[in-house]
Amino acid sequence: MKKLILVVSFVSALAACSSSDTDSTSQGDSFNRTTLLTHWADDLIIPAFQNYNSKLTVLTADVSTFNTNPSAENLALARTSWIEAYKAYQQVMLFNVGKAADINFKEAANTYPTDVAGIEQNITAGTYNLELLSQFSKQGFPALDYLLNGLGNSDTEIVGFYTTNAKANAYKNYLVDLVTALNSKGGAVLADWNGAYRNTFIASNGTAVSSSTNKMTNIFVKNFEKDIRTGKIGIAAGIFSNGNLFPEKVEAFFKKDISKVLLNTSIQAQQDFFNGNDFNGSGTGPSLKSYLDDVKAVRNGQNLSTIINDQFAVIFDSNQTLNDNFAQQVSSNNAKMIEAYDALQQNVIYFKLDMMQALNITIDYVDGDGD
Amino acid sequence: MKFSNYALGAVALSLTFFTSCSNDDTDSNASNYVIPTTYTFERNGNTTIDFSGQTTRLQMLDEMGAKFNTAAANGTALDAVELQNMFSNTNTPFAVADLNSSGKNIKSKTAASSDYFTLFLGGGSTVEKTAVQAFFETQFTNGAAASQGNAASAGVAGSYLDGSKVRLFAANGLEPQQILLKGLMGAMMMDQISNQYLSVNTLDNASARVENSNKVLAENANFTTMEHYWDEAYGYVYGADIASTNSLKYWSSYIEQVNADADFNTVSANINLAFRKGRAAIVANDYVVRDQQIDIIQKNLALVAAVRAVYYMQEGKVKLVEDNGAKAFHALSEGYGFIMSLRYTRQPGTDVPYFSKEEINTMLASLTSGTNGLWDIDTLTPKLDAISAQIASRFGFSVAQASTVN
Repeated sequence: MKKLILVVSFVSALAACSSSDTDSTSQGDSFNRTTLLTHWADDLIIPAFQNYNSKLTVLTADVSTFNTNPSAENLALARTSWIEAYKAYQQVMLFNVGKAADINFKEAANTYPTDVAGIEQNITAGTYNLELLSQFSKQGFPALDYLLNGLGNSDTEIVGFYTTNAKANAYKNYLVDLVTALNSKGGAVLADWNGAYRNTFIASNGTAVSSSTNKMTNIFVKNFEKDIRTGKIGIAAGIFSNGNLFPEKVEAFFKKDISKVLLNTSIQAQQDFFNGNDFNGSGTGPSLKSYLDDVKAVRNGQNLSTIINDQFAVIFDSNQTLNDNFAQQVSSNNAKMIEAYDALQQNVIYFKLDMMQALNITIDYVDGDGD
Repeated sequence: MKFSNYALGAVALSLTFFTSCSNDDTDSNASNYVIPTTYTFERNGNTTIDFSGQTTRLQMLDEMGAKFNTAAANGTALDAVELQNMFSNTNTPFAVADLNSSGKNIKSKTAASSDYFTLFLGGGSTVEKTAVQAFFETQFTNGAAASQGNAASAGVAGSYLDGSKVRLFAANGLEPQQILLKGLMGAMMMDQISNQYLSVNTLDNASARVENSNKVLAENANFTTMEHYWDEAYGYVYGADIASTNSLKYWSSYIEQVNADADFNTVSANINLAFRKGRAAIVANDYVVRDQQIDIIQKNLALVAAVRAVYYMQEGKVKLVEDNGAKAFHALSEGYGFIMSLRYTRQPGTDVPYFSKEEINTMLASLTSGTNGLWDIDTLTPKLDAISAQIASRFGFSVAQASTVN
């Protein structure tokens, strides 16, 4: 028995020592952050915002067509371009730096669940300032979701709000104002990137907490954890409410059948960013992946970048089993949502612990917990 | 033969290795500060200790446990919905108003440590967390089913007069109250202690270490965040004790019960000293000594669960001959809960428990694998012995040492 304990003791001692070996290791850092940031700006971020703004242009035109001639056909047109713009949004939400952060781009574009009563109040009042913090839950894609999909049970009913309803003009105005607000913020962010900010972003090529690489990497992790894992899956699935389910808090609740495509689009954007894939075309460049490979980040003997990409595959596999409509998935079989949550969480762990440690970047946000 | 001697040797050896490889830590200055004889720490004349959240949760569990006793003693129906509300602290379910307004609840701390259930160390996942919470909720409906006036018998949930005390048994013979109480000693208390608050991932998270080193206090508090984390671990062991009446609850009580056995008569002092020493070390920014105390607490607390699990398996085995086995079911249910607790232990210096989730589930499934679960008493003895041996050997004591308190 004495022998046994000694063995156990050696093993635990070894394990204690080896934490720095089996975990990600960083062996010097000569990685060129300037080329990394240049690639991010020129080949990923700016093209993604260009795409987003062009999708908003189409949405603007289709909403205008609908307002001129509110019909089921034109409603379908507006919906389609709303979906395309919403998907394009999933590809830029990650870039919450510079102007986007300054003007609360994300909060204005995608705060959900949307405040239906507040929207109706705005429409009735006819005056509102969408720039106010208190208005974020009454605008953006979720508010458009309500206006295009949630006003009635059928297309005829919905169209009625824009034709026969006593406040038809007010509904039309609100629709236009929401699209205008999206355009305005999307345009402002792109203009800033096309202006001075690109160079500012790239010039901040150091390793300080406020440097572009550190900030962007933090945002990458935070977006994945908070906006994707928590926002798109966790809250509705009751992960943060002691198991109380909130099917009404899924993304695109009124459209019902696009929660999954929005989720997958956002995850794909994260993976593309991780791998440094160009937004347009199939080119690649410096990335978090190549940075990790450069510092020879490994976990249990395997390249950390490979582990992370493998986990992305697990995530997509897991999402495959989900209903397109997450509200329905939560209500019918929430266990699938929890499995999807766990698949995402595993990459949160790889990002937050292993990747950040390997890149020697400090997490700049904290989860409050305890009492 | 004394387990404690070997254990001390092993700890000492581990520590040697541990210290030798933690090259980023400065030398311990353990001689420069005093370890108080009681868990008393002050700053500017006021206490820096706060584990009220833990006390609250232990008191909540007390009230929940008492519901089973009352229903059993009075022959009244147990209200599963009420217990469910108590578990999550919804709809002001507690008799003690302070508990209702505390903002705390047990459920959110059940299988919820950051290391095992957020970082997925030790094989944890959200799937497991959800399943564990649901398992405890099943105990409420099992208890309610047992309180409908039937006498407990094979395959029938009901009550059983155990000496002078009435107990409620589920159809498989397990006692829902004991699964709840002992199970939560693991899934909440042990897990929070060993895998949340006594984890360097928590203690050193974000700026906690820098703040502690510079004695930057938490908002509106007289403690640093790290000091508070340590107190929270302490509170899950001692937080419901009442000194004036020498009333000990949960781990604090079982530590003493195990310590009463000469084979394990150092666990109480080890754990208590380690809590005081670790807390003093935090005040003195001595993180080497702090981490050594973490190892001692994790190891000794796991040992208490292991010894108690084996003890109850063996106590149950002896009682199987009475009342078609029913006399044994209380002990076996307590043991069942302590086995569950082993899943939440932490082997010092590692990211894993002493027994994996799979190993624990196999042991638990074995216990109830007979027709009508525990009631299949003819098949139980070898199962109880196998489980006892499996646990005892992993921890390096003998079944005989654990089964007899002497």
